[in-house]
Amino acid sequence: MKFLKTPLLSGLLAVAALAQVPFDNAKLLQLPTDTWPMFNGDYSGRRYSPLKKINSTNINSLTLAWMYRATAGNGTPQIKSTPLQINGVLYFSAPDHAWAVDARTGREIWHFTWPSKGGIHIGNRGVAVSGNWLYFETPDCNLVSLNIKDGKERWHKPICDLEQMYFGSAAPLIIGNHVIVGVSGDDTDVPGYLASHDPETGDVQWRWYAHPQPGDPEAKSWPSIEAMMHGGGMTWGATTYDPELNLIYFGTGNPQPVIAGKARAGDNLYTESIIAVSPDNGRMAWYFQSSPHDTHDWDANQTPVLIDGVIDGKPRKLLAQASRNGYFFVLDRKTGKNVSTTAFTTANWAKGIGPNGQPIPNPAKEPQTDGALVSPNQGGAANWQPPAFNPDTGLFYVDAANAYSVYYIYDTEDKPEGWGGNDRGGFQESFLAAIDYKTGKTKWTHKWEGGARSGLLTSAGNLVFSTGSSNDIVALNATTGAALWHAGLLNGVTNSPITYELDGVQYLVVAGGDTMYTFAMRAK
Amino acid sequence: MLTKLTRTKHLLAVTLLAGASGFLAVQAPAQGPPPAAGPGRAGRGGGGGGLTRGPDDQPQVDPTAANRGRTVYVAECVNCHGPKARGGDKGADLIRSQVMLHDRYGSQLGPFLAKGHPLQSGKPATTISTAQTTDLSHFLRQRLVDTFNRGPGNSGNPAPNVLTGDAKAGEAFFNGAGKCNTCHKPDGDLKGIGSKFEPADLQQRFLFPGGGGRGRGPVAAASARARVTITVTPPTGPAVTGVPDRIDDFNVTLRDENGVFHSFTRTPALKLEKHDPLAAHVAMLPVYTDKNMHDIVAYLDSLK
Repeated sequence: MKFLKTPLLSGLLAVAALAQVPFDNAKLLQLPTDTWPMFNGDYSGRRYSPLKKINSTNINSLTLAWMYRATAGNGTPQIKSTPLQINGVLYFSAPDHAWAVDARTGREIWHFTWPSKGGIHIGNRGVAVSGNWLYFETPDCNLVSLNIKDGKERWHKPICDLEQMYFGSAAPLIIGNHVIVGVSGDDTDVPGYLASHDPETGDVQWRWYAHPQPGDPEAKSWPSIEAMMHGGGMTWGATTYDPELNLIYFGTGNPQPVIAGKARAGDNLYTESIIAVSPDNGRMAWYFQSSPHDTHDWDANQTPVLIDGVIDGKPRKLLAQASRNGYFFVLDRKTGKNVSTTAFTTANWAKGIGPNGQPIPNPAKEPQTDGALVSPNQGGAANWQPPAFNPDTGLFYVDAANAYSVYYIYDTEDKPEGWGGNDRGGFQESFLAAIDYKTGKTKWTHKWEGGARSGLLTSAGNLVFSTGSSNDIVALNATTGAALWHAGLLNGVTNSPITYELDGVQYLVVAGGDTMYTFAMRAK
Repeated sequence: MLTKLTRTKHLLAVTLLAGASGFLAVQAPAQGPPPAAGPGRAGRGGGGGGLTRGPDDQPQVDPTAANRGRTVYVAECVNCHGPKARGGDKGADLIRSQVMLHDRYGSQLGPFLAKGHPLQSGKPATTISTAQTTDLSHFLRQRLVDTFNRGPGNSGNPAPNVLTGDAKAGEAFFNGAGKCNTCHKPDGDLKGIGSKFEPADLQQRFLFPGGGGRGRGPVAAASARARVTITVTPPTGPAVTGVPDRIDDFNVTLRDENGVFHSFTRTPALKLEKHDPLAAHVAMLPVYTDKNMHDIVAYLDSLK
């Protein structure tokens, strides 16, 4: 068999050589063109590509370049991860798995499997790369660093405690000498936090906890220190970054206990808030709470998208979030002050908007023992699927839903714990909403049959890409919302599409279930 | 051996517990480990079954051992840690306890007690045997599992008591602002409906008669909107009516009443009409108050 081994081995080495070029981290500060170097494409969270070789006039010439089907031992992986494309190699993940695949051909370069000790395997949003090293979170609470050349493990370090039912699902983000990681988990009443780890050693540099310190004015938003220290606020969403202000932006998840909020009277800061912290030390610059005292599991982890825009004729550094609670928030990202708050779906849980831009919860719409009819439902007006913003159209795009369900309290004790209730049943109509950030008003919607929802991509080619109504990837005209092109997949889109240019060809990459599909514009 | 005083306290505790919640006085239902599979959680990306929580080697509750552990708990712990082990003024919350969350059949609890933790009997903690520690660990794990199950898994949840409305007000709404009587008759299609369904199901059925709305893709859509039919009229050729299989921006497919499959490319000249007999229910969702909802359930429940 020796004669067989030699050519096979040399073949592997030749392929591996493609992946041996270290990533130039300076690319993290540029618009993505020949690369897609981080979860959102760039630090702004806009998922906007300046490429226009694929555009609204030629999109019907887009052709399938290759498909790659991922396998993962005993199970079928669901690829919810946004792939990175670096030096011609795609890097992506599923729970306990990471892959490197040739971006031109779809040939697998390596596949890494993590020996799991447990945790919730609901999804992995993606990997981060810095220099020669790749980073990703595992469901059993580890940050794993691999060599991008061969997928060999360099080290793994704990990011959370599996015994307390935390788990890892978020995509890490590289900022300077920091690997920013978020944590997940809402079965037990534990606090959420965002952490920074050293890219070389994996050691913790700092943690920002999603609760005030005892004695802080914000601590009065909890009835007791015990409730506050067990109050949740996970950080599983996308993180964005303004290099000029040197601030990280992210959202926090639901308070704990999730549904039965009897023993946590008050606003429950800093849960369900948009937070700005310094990447250097985790010190908080400001917070804005989008759902005070939530009892509906409406994590505010949706991407805080950074928009350099104009309001009332003045240039502004803005931040926009289409929240799971049904409201679209625009903030000044220097100060956290609210610019506008507008409902972008049906939302019946608030009595109105307060002077600071916060919705004012209606206590009658908290879960009840005999049920409360609430909109949105637990799935939310929007969820983890990343939105997109196109500076050419000035429109913020989000796959959204008008949804209703009935929320019940199951645990009527004075001190409920965990969840203590749930919602049941429901109606949902799905659509892509295009929102004018200047007014908060929805300019147009594009209806999806069924419950389709995916991450989005927009481009200078006047396009928005989304999953469609029928297990397909669809391109809409970014200005008008008209459906222009689609391709049937074996599964609906389970991640967020990306695009990049290699050798003069613009590619579109999207995952549906266990398969990565790549389309190319070869027409001249 | 218990002193007279502690016996009295012990009996008092059991009596109080029986009156307060009943949960310690009766044998708790056997509960195994957290369910390995459960419904997908829409809140975290959905995805169907196979969810697991915590470590793979988490303790598996032995109900018999947990029942023995309950006896130990009532004798030595309940006065401070409370009937649900959720703590109180005198004792820590054991559901949230780091010791218990990291425990494996007494591995953490045993050393913790051995340090001299006070017991309600007044005896030293070392009098709790290794076997009793293991039993106690099973019992406390069972309480943790019970807490888990008050959520999306639903397996431990009681049916909600939704029969809180006013049947007469419900009847008035049915025949008035609700316009339910446009399509439904209490002595017709709804005759005896209160005997056929539990109130909690009546509530869901009248609000969301099309079923769930959280699925994605054509199959889920077809299931949720099973009664919807469509009529497609191509630029040339006859109109076709049937149950939709797929509707999107580019194609429409359906099966007609004979089960024949039809497929069309959508063009501006192709006419598509939807017939949704449940549209009125959807239109009412933003209109109902919670009082309307409870009153209608009470009225439907009265139609025995």
